[in-house]
Amino acid sequence: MRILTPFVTTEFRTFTGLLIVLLYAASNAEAQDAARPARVINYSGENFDRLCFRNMVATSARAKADRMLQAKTALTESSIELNNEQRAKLVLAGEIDIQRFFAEFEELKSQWKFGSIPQDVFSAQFPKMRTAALPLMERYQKGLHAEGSLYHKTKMTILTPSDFETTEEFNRKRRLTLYRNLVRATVASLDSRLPLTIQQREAMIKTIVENTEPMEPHDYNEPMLFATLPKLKEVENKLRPIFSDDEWPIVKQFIALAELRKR
Amino acid sequence: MKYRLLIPPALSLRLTTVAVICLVAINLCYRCNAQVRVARGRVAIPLAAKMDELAGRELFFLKKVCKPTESEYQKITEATTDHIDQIQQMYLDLSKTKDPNAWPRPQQLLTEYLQTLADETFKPTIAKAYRQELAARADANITAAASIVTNLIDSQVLLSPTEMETVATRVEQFETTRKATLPVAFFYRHMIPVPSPENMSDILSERQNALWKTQKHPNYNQPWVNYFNSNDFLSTILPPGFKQLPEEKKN
Repeated sequence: MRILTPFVTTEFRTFTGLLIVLLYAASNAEAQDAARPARVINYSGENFDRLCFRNMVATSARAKADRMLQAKTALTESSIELNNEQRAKLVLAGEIDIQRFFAEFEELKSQWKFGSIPQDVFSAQFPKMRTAALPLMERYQKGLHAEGSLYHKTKMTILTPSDFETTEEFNRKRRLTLYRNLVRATVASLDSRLPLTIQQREAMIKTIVENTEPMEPHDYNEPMLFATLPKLKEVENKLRPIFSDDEWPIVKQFIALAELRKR
Repeated sequence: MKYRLLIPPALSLRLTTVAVICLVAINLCYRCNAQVRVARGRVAIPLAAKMDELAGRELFFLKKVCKPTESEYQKITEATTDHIDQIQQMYLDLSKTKDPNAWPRPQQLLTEYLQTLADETFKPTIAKAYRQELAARADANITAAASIVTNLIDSQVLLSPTEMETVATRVEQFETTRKATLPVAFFYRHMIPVPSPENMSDILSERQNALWKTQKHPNYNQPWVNYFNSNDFLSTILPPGFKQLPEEKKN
C-alpha cells in the first residue's frame, strides 16, 4: 500500500489538473458564447434609397425626376406650342407630382429602422420593406407624369381639345415606335435560333405590330424577351401561316419562354 | 583501376542510376511546366457542341432558301462538317496568340463558306438569293441592336419619334452596335451595346446629354466567345431536326 501511494498521488494530481483545465476551458467557451455579439447588418437609409431608385440616392433620384419633367415639357412643346402661362402651369403641376411622390417615399422610409440592425430583425424586416416599396419603385420607373398624374390632368385642362389630341397622338406615335423597336429585337432573338427569310421576318413584325396593343415603355432592368413574348402568344394563330411545319415547334418553344417570367 | 579502388562498382552503378533518374525527373518537370504555361496562355475557343448547333442552324437555313436536292444537300453537309473541324483547329491556333475579340466570329466564317458552296452548287439566281437573305439577316440584327439602344436612350432622356429615327440611324453606324454579341445584347440592360460618351454627345442635344449623364450605364463587355459557349434563355431551342449528341467531341 505504501508502495502504491506515490503512484496514486501522481495519478490523482494529473487527473485533478486535467479536470481543472477542462472545467476552465468549458466555462471559458460558454463565456465566449455569451459574450459574442449577435451578427449585425448595417443597413442605412441610403441603402434603402438605392433599392428604390436603382442604385441612386433619393436626392439624385429627385434631381432626375426634375430633369425628366423638363424633358417631358420639352417633348410636349415639340408637338404643340405652349404659351408662358401654360408652360408654367404644367411645370408647377409636374413639380407637385414630384413633391407628392417624394413625400410618400419619405413617409414609407420613416417606418423602417436603419443603422446597425441585428441580422434576425433585418431578415424579417427586409422582405416587408421591399414589398412596401415596390409600388413606389414601379411608379418612379414608369415616370411621375404619366396618366393619372396632376401633370396629365392639368394638360387636359389647360390645352384646347385639339392641342390635347395632338399631344396624345404624338405620344401614341412615340409608344408605337418604341414598341416596334422591341418587336424587332424580339424577332431578332428568334432569328438567332431559327434563321428567318426576309419575307418571314417582315411578316412577323407586321403581324405583331398591327394586331397587338403597344406596351407601356419597357423596364430595361428585366429581360426584354419576357416583356414582349406574351404579345406573340396573343397572335399565335396569325403567326402560324408564316412558318413551315418543321419550324412551328421552334416558334412555339420560343413563345413558351414567357413562362420563365412567372417562376 | 585507381577509381575502382575509390568507388566500388555497385555504388558506381547506383550513383549512375540516381543521376539518370534525377535528370529524367528534371526534364519531365521542365516539359510539364512548359505545357502548363502554354495551356495557361490559351483562352477558351468556341465549343464543338455549340459549333455543331450553329452549323445545323445555318444548314437548315440554306436548305430553306436554296432547296437543294438530297445529294446536293448531303455533299454540302459533309463539306461543312469538315470545315467546322478546320475552323476549330484555326481557333485552337489563334488561342495561343491572339485576343479573342479580334477573332472572326464562327457565324461569319460559316456563312461565308456556305456562300462559296452555294455558288459552286446552285444556279446563280439561287446562290444570289441566298446571299441576299444572309445580308438581310445581318442587317436586321444591326437594326434590332440599334433599336434596342434607341429605346434605352429614350427611357433616360425622352425622344420624339423623329429623334428616335435619327438616333437609331446614327447608332447603326457605331462599332459598338455592329459588334454587339447577339442575342445576349437583347436580354439585360447591362448587355445592351451603349455607345461611348463621345458618340452620345454627337447624337443627343445638350439637354438630353445632361440627362443621360445623370445615370450610370454599366456595360459588361466580355469576349464574344464566352457568350457563344454559355447557355442562356434561348439555349434550349435547337435547330429543326438537330439532335445534340452527348459530349461527342472534345475541344
